[in-house]
Amino acid sequence: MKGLLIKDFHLAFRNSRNLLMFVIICLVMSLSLDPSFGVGYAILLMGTIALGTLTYDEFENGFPFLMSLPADAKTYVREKFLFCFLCELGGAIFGLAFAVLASLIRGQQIVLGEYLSFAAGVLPAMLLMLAIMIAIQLKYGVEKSRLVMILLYGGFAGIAVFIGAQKEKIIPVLPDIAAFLQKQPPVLLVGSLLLVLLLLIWLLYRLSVRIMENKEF
Amino acid sequence: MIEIRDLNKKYKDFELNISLSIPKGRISGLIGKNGAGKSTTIKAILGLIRKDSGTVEVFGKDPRTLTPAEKQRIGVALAESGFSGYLNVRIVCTILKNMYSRFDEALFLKRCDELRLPLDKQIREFSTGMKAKLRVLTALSVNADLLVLDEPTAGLDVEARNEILDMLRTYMEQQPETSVLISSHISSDLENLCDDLYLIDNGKLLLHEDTDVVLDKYGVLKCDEETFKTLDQHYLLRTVKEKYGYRCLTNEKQFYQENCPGVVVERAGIDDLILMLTGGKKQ
Repeated sequence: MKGLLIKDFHLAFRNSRNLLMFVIICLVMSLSLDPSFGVGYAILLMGTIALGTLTYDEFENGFPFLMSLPADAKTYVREKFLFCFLCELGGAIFGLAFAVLASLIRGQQIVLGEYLSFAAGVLPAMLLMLAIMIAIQLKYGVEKSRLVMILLYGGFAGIAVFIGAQKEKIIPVLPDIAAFLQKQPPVLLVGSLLLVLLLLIWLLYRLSVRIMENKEF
Repeated sequence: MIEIRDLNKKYKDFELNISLSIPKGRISGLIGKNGAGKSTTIKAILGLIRKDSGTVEVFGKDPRTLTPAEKQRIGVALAESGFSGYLNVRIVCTILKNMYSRFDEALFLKRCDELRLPLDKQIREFSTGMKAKLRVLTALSVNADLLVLDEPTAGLDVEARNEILDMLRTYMEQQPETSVLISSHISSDLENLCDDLYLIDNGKLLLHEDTDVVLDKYGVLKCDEETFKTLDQHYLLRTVKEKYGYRCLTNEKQFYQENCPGVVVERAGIDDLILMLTGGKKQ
């Protein structure tokens, strides 16, 4: 596992110019827009960089050799999830640092609570997105997974359109749902949401392991 | 170390059927033309593909169920797959150090120096020979109990090939307990390395013989048509019609040397075996 993490770290951050670009973009975002936005952007960017290591693994038929190293399918998937999580955590920390720095430069008040809550919102959503992407890329490969993602987004858009078409039925129910949610303690709401996210990520992890175990190289 | 019994793997336009056994300390060669099934056999041994039927065992277990600790006992060099070209040798060394408890870092770095492999250059900038040397060196540096080398010298010039073969010979002298499976379509590479040879063609095992037996007993007979008609064809394995007459493969070279003075009897190299067993007419 450690060896795979080292490999991914070097592949993800092999180019110091890319890292510099990351810092500059995040700083510019934090300075020109709301500092919280920089936090979200840093998390998004780090997620994309982490996911890119899968592309490197697949590039030039790399998988047969990787899977002949002392790492089974489960270890490989576990490492990939862990690496993505660490990168996202790093992105959040960097994003927060950029937000604080941008606030200082702009002479604004540092609202750490706001930045933290923004990070807490974006981070799990991005982790879920990465878990979906990992499963899709392992199943279909980098090239085909692009098409699958387009279809997936199309599916989401279709659901949104369907819900929009049903608004006559949905809108009357919304106040009841909002009232019900307002009655619940915030800790319970956030906790339930996190639990659902964690459950989904765990299910996607299991699915990825299954895909990898059945894959032929 | 490796035990394959009636392995069957079907693809759309190819089917592999093979049995082989590699005990401890044995160096076995897997020979055959391109597309014969060598790489598929190696993939089955490494658990990279699923078999349709038969059994494949490495260290007494299905290779797809080997734990990472057990996989540490296998050194692998694949022909068309390796570490990402965006890594450099120094990083590869760090990765290996963290993946293999028996990785010999000092030896690896020493060999890199001897083989003129730059430590800080990206692998994708290496020449074909340098990449091949790195792949083999990686497999040899983990102090494995089993080495699986798929076409370690394919596409290399004579100098690079000799360097790799020397590296292998030295390793085998120093680690006589290690079992080795080497596939190659360059037969001369294997003649001086292997204890025994498996010749496969079109997914089927055509011959399994000790290398010494091949070199001592197998021969190629060359004769004109008249002589061929009078020849005792009992010990001929394959014949090929040539312009001058016939070229025949036998596994009783001495018999023809002693009894057929008019026939040219030459030592059969592994190339002759491949050519005649995969292309000649069966007697």
